[in-house]
Amino acid sequence: MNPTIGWIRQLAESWRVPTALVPLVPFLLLLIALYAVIGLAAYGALRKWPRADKTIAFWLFISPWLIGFLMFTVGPMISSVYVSLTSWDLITPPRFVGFANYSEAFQDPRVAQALKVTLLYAVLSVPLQTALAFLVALLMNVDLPGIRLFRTIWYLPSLVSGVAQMVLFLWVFNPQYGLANDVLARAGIQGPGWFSDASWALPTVILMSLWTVGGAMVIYLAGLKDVPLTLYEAAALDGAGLVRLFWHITLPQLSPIILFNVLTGIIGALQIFTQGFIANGGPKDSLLFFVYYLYENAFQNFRMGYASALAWMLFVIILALTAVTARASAFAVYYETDLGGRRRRRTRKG
Amino acid sequence: MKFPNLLRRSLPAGAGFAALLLAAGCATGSQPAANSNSGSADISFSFWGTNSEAASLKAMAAAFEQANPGTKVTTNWIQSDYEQKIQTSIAAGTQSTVLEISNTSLAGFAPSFAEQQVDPSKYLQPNISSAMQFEGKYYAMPFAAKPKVMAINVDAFKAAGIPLPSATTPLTLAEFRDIAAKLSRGEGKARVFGSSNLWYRGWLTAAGGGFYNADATACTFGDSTGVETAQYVIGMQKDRYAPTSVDIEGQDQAQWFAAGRLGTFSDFGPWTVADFAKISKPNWTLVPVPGKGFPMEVDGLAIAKNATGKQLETAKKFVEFVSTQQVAQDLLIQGGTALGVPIIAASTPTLEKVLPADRNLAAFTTALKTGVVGVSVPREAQISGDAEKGMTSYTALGSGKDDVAKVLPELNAKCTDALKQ
Repeated sequence: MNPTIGWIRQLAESWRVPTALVPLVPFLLLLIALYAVIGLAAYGALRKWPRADKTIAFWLFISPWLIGFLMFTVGPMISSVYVSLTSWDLITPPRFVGFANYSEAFQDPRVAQALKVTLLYAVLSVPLQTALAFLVALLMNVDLPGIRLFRTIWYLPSLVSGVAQMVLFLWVFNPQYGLANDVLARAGIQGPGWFSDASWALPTVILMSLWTVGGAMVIYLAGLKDVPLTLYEAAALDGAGLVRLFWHITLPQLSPIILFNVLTGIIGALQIFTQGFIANGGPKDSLLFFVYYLYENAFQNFRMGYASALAWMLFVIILALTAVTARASAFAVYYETDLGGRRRRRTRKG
Repeated sequence: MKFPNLLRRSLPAGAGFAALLLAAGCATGSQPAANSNSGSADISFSFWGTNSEAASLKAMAAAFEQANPGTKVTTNWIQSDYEQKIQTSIAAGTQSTVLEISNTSLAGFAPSFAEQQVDPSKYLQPNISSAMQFEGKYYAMPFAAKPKVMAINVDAFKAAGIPLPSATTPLTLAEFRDIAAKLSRGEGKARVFGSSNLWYRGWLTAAGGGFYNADATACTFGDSTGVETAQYVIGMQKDRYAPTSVDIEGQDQAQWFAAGRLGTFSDFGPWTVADFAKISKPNWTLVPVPGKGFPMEVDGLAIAKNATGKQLETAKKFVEFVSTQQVAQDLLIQGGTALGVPIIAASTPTLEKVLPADRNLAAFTTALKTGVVGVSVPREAQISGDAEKGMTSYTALGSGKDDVAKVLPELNAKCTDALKQ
């Protein structure tokens, strides 16, 4: 251990800091020291500039996030570009191999399988989640006694963490003793193997993902509450029925929110990991999600270079799909705000 | 932003101190951070395990400190993802001075461990020390063995009129199958199985086969012994003498045994003793695993390659102490459970006395003396993981339906290719 860190730890121990918190003391002290050095350097450099006070204040206030972002996000990202060009098992020194990892990935049948599973999951789960969340939001928007309780009930599952959720559903979909097959058996239907069956594993995970639509539902609900009632009243006076009200007012008004949920849903779906991890990739790699395969290479097979190459491939795929979705959405999303210029030209006239 | 004069004057001093602290705190020097203090006799020790296993290892470290005044062993109990964490610590140069390692993982980590001198005559059988060898050199010193034995439901045997198996001589696989058939009865969720779920890799060793050949140049689970063993396992499952992997999904087979749903429980390691010690009904005892027994895991202590000076001396003393001294070996047993079976003769009775003699914990000593230790291969997790995943996905060893006679040789060929890469 670094002698200075050791000395700080000893000092913390002599101050009777609880044992579990001792490792945090040197970390926090060094973080404060780093913050002080950068903050004071910024102060020294900028104090004579015009409007320096505001500029310094801006950089000082933003610096906790900025330092963290540079150290823990940008730094590792740059480092992973280099690692992706090496063969590295963490034990022996990294060996430069150029683009060999990328070229291997293009020929790896398990990469193809991982892409297939992940894209299939995204294509099926995102629309289903979006539709269900929207539908539930419409129902929860009805002003009835006790509706807040129902909203809470719908929202609660989204607070359950991924691992706990997966463990719970492993029980629900246990082929022998699970709730799902028990209910089906009572109806005279022999239930499938769910996670144990290669053809059912992915549909089961998609079904499972619908349990947590509460998070998106709350956002839709907030959007619905924001739609001006005058629009509905004017349309009703013109003789519009419920379907027309929904189609010509609710849907266009909520289209930016739908876009937001679809975009975050696509990004989240392409980064799905926990379900594949807990199910160990599923039978016949039926739950071999891309991020799980990346993890398997990095932390089970200790192929850091290959895993980094996969990470960059996923980054490019997500970037491309997000860009395409955002661009395509311009023809279906209605923005009421007066942004003028380019955006208005790309959006549908309201 | 206005700073008062006093504060303005103290800013350079503060900045200087902060920069100094930062430089000192981040400096690693020429030695890796973990072992830079080579002038001191203080060492660190990383290990995995459950609460009781960690208690054993901490007690060993404390016993060493007591026997060697002036030394300090800082324990680092890694409760999950042990290998991932030590691998990343090795990459960062912050690994502990001494690291626990199993024989199956040794080959992958050998380049980061110091070579050690091991005297095979100190242990109960030669397999124990040779388990810590890779390419003819010792990279760790053994300290615990984990042989498997089989628990049998004595009441079920008596009720079925079956004589109890020998306490020292293993059954043949055919005899075991006959016994399992006689013990099995009932239907549906109340079905009593003659055997617990059959672990293919274990039964492959019991049948005289192996996952790899002796020099780890080829995989061998796809040979005739491997296929016949797979057919044996699948046959037992098909006849409902043993539950399938789907049957036991999310289930605790020790609880099944306690509830009388299993006639035998074949995956019984030293750590299982505590769970079974609570079972008074049905009456049970231990016998050897049929055939040649299951593969035996041997755990050892490795010394980080970058340890030098006094730290290296202390580390060598520590691993020698834990590996060969009775006072340390006796500590493998904590309360009602055991991290592993002691590997020196003087400590053998310690485990055997944990439970009454009729439970026959001596079966562990017998299993240790005859235990088969598999070879250690680099990239073991990847190679065997891929093969086992294929078996469980495509054949009835897991949830698949394909013919083992076709699938195993194909997987075997892929496995051998992977070994050669």
